[in-house]
Amino acid sequence: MTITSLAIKNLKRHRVRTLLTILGVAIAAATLFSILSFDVGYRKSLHEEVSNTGIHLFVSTEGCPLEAASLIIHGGEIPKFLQMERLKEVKSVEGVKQAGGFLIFSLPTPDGSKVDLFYGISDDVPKLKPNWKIRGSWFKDENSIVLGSEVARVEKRDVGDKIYIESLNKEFNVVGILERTYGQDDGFYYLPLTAAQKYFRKEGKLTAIGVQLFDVSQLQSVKNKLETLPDVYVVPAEDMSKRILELIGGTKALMYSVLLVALMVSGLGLLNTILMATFERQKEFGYIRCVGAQPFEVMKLVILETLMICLLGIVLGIAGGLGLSVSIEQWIRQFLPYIPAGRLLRPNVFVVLITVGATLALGVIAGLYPSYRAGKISPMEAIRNE
Amino acid sequence: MNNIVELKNVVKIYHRGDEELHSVAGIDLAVGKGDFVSIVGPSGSGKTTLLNLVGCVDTPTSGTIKIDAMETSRLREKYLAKVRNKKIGFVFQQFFLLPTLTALENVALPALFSEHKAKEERARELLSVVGLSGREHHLPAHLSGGEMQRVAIARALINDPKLLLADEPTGNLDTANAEAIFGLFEKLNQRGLTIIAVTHNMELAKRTKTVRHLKDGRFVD
Repeated sequence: MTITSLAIKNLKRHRVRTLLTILGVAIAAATLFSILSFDVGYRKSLHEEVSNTGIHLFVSTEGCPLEAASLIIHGGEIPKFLQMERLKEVKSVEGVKQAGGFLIFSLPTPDGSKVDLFYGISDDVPKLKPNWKIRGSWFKDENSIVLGSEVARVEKRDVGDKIYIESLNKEFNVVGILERTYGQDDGFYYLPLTAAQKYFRKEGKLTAIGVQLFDVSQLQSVKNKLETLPDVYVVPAEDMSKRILELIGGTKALMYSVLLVALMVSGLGLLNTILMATFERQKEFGYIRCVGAQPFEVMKLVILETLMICLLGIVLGIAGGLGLSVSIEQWIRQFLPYIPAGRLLRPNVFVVLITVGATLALGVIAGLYPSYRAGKISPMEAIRNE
Repeated sequence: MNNIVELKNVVKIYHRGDEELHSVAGIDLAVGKGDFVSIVGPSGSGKTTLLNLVGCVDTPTSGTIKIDAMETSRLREKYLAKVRNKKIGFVFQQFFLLPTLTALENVALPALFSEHKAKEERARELLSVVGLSGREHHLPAHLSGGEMQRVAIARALINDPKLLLADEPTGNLDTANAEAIFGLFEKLNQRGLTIIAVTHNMELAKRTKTVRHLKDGRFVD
């Protein structure tokens, strides 16, 4: 027999109580694990999304740069428009590798049940979106339309089908389906830029221009040059990431509040269980002290029992966090003002280490007082009340 | 030099509010190696307090206590724990067996806190000595009162103590079991173990080598 096997036997004494405490710790560990995985996953996905667009700078009309930039990705109308000739001017700026024009429009369906999002894009845009995979072909004429994967799924359309768009009162030929990007791009109707300008009566107008550079280290100098063009606002893609991260700050604060509550409830549950177990075993501890155990050995036994509960809770919590990651991700998505493409929960070694470390620290803190009390029990406790 | 326990003018005073209780009121006691001493007296006479002092679980208000020639009355708790672990075995009326441990594990428990090796082997030997061979893997709930006290005695012997202290060891047992446990003490004493037992049972006390009567914290014989 060892101190460890003694601790295990003590925990088995009240199986239901021990199990419930382990579950409490597991919930806290799973919450911590999921939130940390989200923190890592969201940043990565956002970074990847911004990188995958291949766009280093966004050019829009003057106004809120965040609004302009996020609308380009997210969809939505900017009341001001760029003139079409700006696209040529942007392309001619030294350091610009390629640039593509966007016209973004949203139209409610006549019955008002939903809003259709349209993306008029120039032929340069696919070069700026290297992660795009289009099944079928590119636009053939003004009647061509490419559907985002989610739109195709909802409308039950495939390449070669026709689609009647009620809000435009027009029928289009589905020439391509954009394969799933797990981002906002999945929810758009894509039209040739000139056709979109015509349907939305914005001939010669653009919502924004996406710019790719030859050399990203030249970003600031190209930005400065672009800003000399009249009525333009230039937003670096990296700035956009930062601003989106600021935008989800509120959601993250909410999640960390939930985490704090989970950790507190779990810690108090653990403290309660260990404290009860200590009170119940006063005479046993007294006897153990009587036969020569030093106070630190009794403390060690109690801390060991606490850490065992924590370790089992951690294993269960991480396993639960991994197993339920899809559901947790779906749930978190409801609260986000902006959802980048890709998985939002991405656990890594760092996340696992933080979860293990923080939960064990919680266990040590919760176990300190009961173990201190147990260590203070006098050997006379065994003889008293005989 | 042959005394394993020496008490000189030992006093233990407890305080209850402003009142001073002289639980042990100036006791001298010498117990030689291999002796079997029983301490008898009415409730409240200070028997258990005296046993606590000899067993190093309490320290005297004044006077000196020597266990195996070591002065223990002024030792710090850390060193008292070592003395208890190495030199003294305890047997109590209520057995104090851990309910989740088997008989074998209960016997080996004190060795967890000592440097003794081969605990399990020694625990088996001791269970055999107390007549419990074949009951090693029984939980306390599956043992009779007499068997539980035998396990407790085996446990008290695991660290090869020089002194066995027993506080009402037969108090929870029927006559037959009390007789058997006392017989076991006699056997252990014949093998050279020094025993001090506190008891109410005068019949059994008469069978020990020395009987001391305690009243109001003093020996009256």
